[in-house]
Amino acid sequence: MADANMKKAGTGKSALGLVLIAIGIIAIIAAVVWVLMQPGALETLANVAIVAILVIFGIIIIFYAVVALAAIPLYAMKGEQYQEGIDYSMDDVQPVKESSSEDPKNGTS
Amino acid sequence: MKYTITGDNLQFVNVELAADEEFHSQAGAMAYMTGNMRMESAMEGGFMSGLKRSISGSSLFLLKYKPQGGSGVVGLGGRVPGKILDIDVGKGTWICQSSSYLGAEPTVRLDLAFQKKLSSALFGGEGFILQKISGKGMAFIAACGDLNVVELKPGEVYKVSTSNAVAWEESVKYDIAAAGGIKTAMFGGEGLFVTTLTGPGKIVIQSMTLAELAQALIPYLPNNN
Repeated sequence: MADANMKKAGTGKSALGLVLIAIGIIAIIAAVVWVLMQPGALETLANVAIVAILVIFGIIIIFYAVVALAAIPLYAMKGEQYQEGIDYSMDDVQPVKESSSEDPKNGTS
Repeated sequence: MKYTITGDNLQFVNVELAADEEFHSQAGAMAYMTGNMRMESAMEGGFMSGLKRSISGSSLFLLKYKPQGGSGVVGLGGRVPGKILDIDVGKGTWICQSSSYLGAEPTVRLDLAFQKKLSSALFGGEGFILQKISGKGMAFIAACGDLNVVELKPGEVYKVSTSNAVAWEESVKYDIAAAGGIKTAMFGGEGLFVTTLTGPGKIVIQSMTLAELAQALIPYLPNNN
């Protein structure tokens, strides 16, 4: 019964598109290899890469340094907060288990 | 649309769609579908919406599922060991940790959200970027570990370990507070801060984050020595 109702949507154009994408990727790789084979290109690229890596590392180190420096004053400012004279119950904590749309109370919200 | 969420810690959400219904999911979430179901990737909402989705940890393209001339079933799975949670977005907008969106009815809108406070973004554990799920209909989110849902009354506060808050209703106030004194900060294992979630509204908390899971597995990973 299932086979009788089976239809086929053509994917020939999609396959052609995939082939073109693959050719494009190969062409890009070939172009990159050709550029790298030019005299001096690899050296220039290496210099640019070193500078870029150093800049990225510098930014990351500065960011973490700023965050670390900001943590202490923020820790002092926020303080430990706690409530007094309020009762909480474990009954309010509901575990997530299997569920379905047929459940009387479906959906978390 | 009818659905079931099945399994223990690597759950499925099984969605049954009538002939005229549609369902969306993030790319790569589909685990199975029936023979009469067709899926098509689409940059729903245009390039900017796709880009915002992508930045929020979802995918540039969404997958649209539609059964052909009868009811069909599609099953989605999460990307990490954990639970899948059904959220009725029509009852309120939710803010979720990035990458938690799994799928939803077409009437649900997934958007990028930012932490409102710089201090919460830097030390709250969830980062700057979050996901905002709004609109109308059912949405499904997935997160690592087991999940607890708590409905906070106005003024009620839950202190949560940083990065263990999975999702919270928009009405919930998200902030940070000091974990405790110097002994607690240095030896408590929670760092300097905890996340505070203040009601009213529902919150979802996870027992283990993906980073904690990865860290727990590191000693057991095979090495070449």
